[in-house]
Amino acid sequence: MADNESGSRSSFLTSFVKAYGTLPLHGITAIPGKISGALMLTDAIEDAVPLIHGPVGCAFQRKVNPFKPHSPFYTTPCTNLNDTDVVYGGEEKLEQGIKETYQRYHPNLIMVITTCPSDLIGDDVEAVTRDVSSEVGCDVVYSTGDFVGRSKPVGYQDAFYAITDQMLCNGDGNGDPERNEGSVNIVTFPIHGAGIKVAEMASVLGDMEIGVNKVCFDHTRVEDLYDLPKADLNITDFPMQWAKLMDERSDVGCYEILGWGRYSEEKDPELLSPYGIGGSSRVFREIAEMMGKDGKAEEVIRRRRKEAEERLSKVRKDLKGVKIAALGGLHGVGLNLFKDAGVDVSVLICRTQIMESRLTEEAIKEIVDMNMNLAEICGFDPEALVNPTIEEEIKVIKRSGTDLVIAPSTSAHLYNREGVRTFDPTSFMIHHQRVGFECPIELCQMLKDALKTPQRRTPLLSMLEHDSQMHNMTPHWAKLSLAFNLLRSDAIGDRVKVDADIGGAEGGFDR
Amino acid sequence: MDGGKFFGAFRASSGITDAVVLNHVPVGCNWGAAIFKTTSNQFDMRHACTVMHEREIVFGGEDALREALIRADELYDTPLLLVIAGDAPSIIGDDVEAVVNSVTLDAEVMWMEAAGFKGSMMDGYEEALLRLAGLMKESETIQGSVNLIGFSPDDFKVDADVKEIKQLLLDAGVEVNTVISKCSLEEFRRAPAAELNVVLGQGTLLAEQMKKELGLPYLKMDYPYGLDGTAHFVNAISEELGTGHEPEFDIEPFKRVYLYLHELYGTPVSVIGDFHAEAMANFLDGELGFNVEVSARNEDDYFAFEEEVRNSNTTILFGSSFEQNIAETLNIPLIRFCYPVFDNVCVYDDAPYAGFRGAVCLTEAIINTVMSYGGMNK
Amino acid sequence: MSLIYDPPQDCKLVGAMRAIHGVRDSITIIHARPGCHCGMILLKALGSNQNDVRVISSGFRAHDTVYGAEKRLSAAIQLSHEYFEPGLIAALNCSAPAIMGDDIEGVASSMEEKIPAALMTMETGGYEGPAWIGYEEALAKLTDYMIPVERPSADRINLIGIKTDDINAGGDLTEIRRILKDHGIEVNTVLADASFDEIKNSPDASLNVVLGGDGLECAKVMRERFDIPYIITPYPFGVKKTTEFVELVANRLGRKVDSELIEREVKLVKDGIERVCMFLQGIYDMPVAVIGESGRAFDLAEFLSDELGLNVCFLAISSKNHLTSNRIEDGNGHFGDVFIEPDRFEMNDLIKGAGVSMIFGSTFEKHLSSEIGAPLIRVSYPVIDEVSITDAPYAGFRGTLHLCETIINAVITQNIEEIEE
Repeated sequence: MADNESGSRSSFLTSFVKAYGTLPLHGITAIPGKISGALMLTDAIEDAVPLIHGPVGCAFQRKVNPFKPHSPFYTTPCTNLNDTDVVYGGEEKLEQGIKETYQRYHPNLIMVITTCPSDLIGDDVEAVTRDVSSEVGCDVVYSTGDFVGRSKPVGYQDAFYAITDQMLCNGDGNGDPERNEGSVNIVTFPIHGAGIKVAEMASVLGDMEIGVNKVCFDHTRVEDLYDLPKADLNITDFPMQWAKLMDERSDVGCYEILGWGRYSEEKDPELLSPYGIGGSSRVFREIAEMMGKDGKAEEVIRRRRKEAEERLSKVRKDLKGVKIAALGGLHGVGLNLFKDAGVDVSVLICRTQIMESRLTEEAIKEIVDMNMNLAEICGFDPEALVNPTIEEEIKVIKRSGTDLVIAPSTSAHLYNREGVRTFDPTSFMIHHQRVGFECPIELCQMLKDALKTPQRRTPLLSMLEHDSQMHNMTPHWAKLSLAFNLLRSDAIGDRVKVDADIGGAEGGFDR
Repeated sequence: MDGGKFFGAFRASSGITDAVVLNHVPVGCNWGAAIFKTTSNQFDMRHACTVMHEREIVFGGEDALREALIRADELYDTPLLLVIAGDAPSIIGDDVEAVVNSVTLDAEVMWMEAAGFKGSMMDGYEEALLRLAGLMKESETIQGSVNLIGFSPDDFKVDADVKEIKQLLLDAGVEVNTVISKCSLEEFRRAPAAELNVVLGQGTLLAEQMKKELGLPYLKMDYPYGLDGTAHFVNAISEELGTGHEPEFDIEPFKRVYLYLHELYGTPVSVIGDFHAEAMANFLDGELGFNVEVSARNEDDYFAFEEEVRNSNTTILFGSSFEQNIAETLNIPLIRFCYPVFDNVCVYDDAPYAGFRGAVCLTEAIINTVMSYGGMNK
Repeated sequence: MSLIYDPPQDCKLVGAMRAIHGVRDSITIIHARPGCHCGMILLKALGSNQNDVRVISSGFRAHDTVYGAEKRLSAAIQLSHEYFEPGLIAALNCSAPAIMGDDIEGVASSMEEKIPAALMTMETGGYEGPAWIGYEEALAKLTDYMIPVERPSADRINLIGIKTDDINAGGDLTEIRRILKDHGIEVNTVLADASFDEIKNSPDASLNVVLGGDGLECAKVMRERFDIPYIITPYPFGVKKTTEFVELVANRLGRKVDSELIEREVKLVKDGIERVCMFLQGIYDMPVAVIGESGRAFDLAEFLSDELGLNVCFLAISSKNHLTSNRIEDGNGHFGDVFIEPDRFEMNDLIKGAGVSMIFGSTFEKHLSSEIGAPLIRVSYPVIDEVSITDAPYAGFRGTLHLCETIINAVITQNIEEIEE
């Protein structure tokens, strides 16, 4: 692995993870079911094992991990429900299955995950789990997907809620442990790599005299989960039902780095920009305030910020005057990070096609406006493009003298063939973007590296036809996406009715 | 990492597929040159050694050479014996020419001086070809034919690549007359029958000489990796010979893995090799959209190369089997594409790296190397 | 015997989908909760045909478990027709709607007149059985669309048992076609890797060739309905089985095998083998494990043992077919105990104890391979961490060399320090 001058590291892991990154799932052409989310959580707990209460297909197919396709779930035992069980019930099998799972794997936690058949036939999973728990030497928890309403991702949220409800804060002496006063838990989504990304945060909090009780998920074991209620505060990536429950039952506060809840009240776009110097300062301040460490925090923030800004000023010198075209939206490299890097955002591109099946027009407009507000707050005055074709983008990019386009590798080739350099934000987002003062320095280095790449290429990818609107996809996949969103629309609770132009879709096969 | 002049001479000479190479060297040099050649050609043992020992170093190796020549002539049924004098005889001053002239053998004998320390591997290759040029016979020109110069019999995937290039050119109305150096003696002799010499990376001196003495023109081309690289290669030759062919290729295979191609776009890589390296870097950079962070030739300082790679963001290394060490240290995959490859065999000759088919095979190999990396499949 | 089961194969849904997806102008509608649909998409998208994924969801949502989802299914059928204009639309009824009692057959019937495409439905609830049952049933159902032919073409055969998402399937098929063509035998239809029209035209053949026993039900139905005889051949791994394959087909068609042609092919294999003979000697007797589907794994194991001299000390059949029990008896001593659809945990334990140096299996054996330090050769479904976009086969004469190359390289590229660790 290379250590470059900003201290950032890159390794084969980046390419390996990236290799699977463009599968257009996660609401684009498919949604993984709750089992996958529950498996993701179980897999992140080293001494936990899942037991899928269902037929073999639910166990076999779910080995393919939609969140990390490069890393299958190898261990997925199931109760092997067959058609007889569907008629007569599968509770006996479940009971036996729990016992055997314990005998075979000797875990410290068995996560029972229900499936369509077991849900529909009405197996009383709660009763079975409760009754058999005392006969095995470990915790047994069940997750049905019904605990958390529409919170996403359902499987993950539900399973973690189940652990909190049935294990950590179940009122049987748990949930009220001896407190680790003045400490916090940092709990990130398992695929976000807590181990790599929270080290700096933990260090800054430490300087503020805020202890870190637990970091999840980083070689997390069941005993680590039991320690979670000892802290005063849970810090999570985004709103988590389990954290709210722990707050209710065990008085452990919760703080969300991405402040969705507060945004809906305050409408402050900076609440959704927790990264970079300014964003991170705010996050640390808010945590400190919740922990009663405001005074100490200011001094620490000032010092750490100053140190980082000194190094940043050197590293970003070569980026002065560099113009970039950035992507707007809810995910991506935050505009404030570009501000820290000293570049100018000359073009802001917003794509709303995928959102249109899920969000109302007003919501979409709010997202676009929010991005423009943020740009203004950061001192940028970009030309805004909403759902442009690639030709329209190229025209504006060239006219504005933009040096670099922030483009994931699904579309980078479209720019490179036109002589426009690109920077792939995915790697930065997965491996570097975090709360702290260091990542702007890393971003500067990565932007400088991107400016050294060839300006023009004749990529093989550019030989393929891409959809004119969703130009990260071929026309066929764009149709699959349209089909998916159209067909699943119009459910109870949906706010949006999808109206796709079926007639306009290019159809047919080569026969 | 360069092999030195001896290796170059050996590679050029052993490319005459019915010749026998007699290495006038100690056993180690002979073994070294041979082992890289035999990985994917274990049945093709057409070389021998004079086995110079201390006695020869002190008293001279001419007697040993004479005896070896006689024995080799008896042992091998070959039209040509090629003697390569390596480092030791060069230092002690063996008069190889005199020895060669002193024996009468069934096989024709030729010799060349190729002490490793006297030049690079490419120097050895070039000079060997110049020596071998003396074997060529004047021939009537075959219109629309070319010689391909620059190959060695132990290039990685040489059979597959040559097969592919021949087919590509045939489709363009161009016949391949001789492939140097991977041809029989007869084919080598009739090299002057071609209308054009195409030099791929090395063999320029031979092409120059053939131009001077025979009026045979030549083109210097990059090794045809990638769709673009191949199209350029075919177009240039076709234009030169006036066959007016527009090469066509099939993009269907790339469509089938386009999601992976998306994600690998921008992958930082490093490349090292002989003349193949530049063409490979152009393909990786220009067509797959990789970022070539470090690009080096075998002749460059290897230590400096390793340091640069260590300090870069390289996540895939392209080179020879020698790069296995740095790849393992950095825990990144290695794609072997140039000499020497001694830990990968190639016997399936329909999976080239050159040409249009080669672009598909190479792309597949790269994707699979990334996706299946890890565990015991590095 | 253990009740819990970590399965080596999927349920009926995947088997059915694999068969139907082989109809190149078909759309498969997964009538199920989102997870099943996502699973199917993933299995296809992580393969070597990323731009040819023809699987959509009916859009089943949570509230549909209460109210039923037949309307969604009919919308999906309608949309499939309008977006993709397929020849065949297949609706697969999965666990949730099946238990609820969605009448998918009724939905399809009601739409027959509106939709030009052929409509097919199948019950594929996860509890109904394993994948191979779904595969057999789906292929057999395709016979409903076949059009009888009065005088089928002589010297034309159908190949049954190809699965387009097997690794190197394209290359294998190219090689099989080439070998047959050299003997004057043409392939009429491949089941299933054909357009819907070609499927319909399947009866225009003199013989059905069932590879490895996969698709036997379809062959039987075609014999009953269209009077087309069938033979069962080995999957042509290696020189012997490829020769046997050609001989069986040719003889059944009343043709003589061109022995000169075969000799030439064998010579090419021999020339290739010579080039790496020392490595082949080096790996002779190497203990290996083979895990795969019945239609492939038995023949692969025999080839590895018989022609490469590897010691197949563990053979697991991840997915049966109708011939599996016969095949166990016919091993000719080339493999010892055979484990049929074993639980993965138990299988892994046995393999760990077997002292193997190489595993022939699927991507799901990768972790095991890493644990025991044995390279993995991906030959069995599913392979989701390797692509094949060239036409390099594993079957046939050319496939013999390619497979040899792959096996040798898997051994000699290892780093000794890692192995010693």
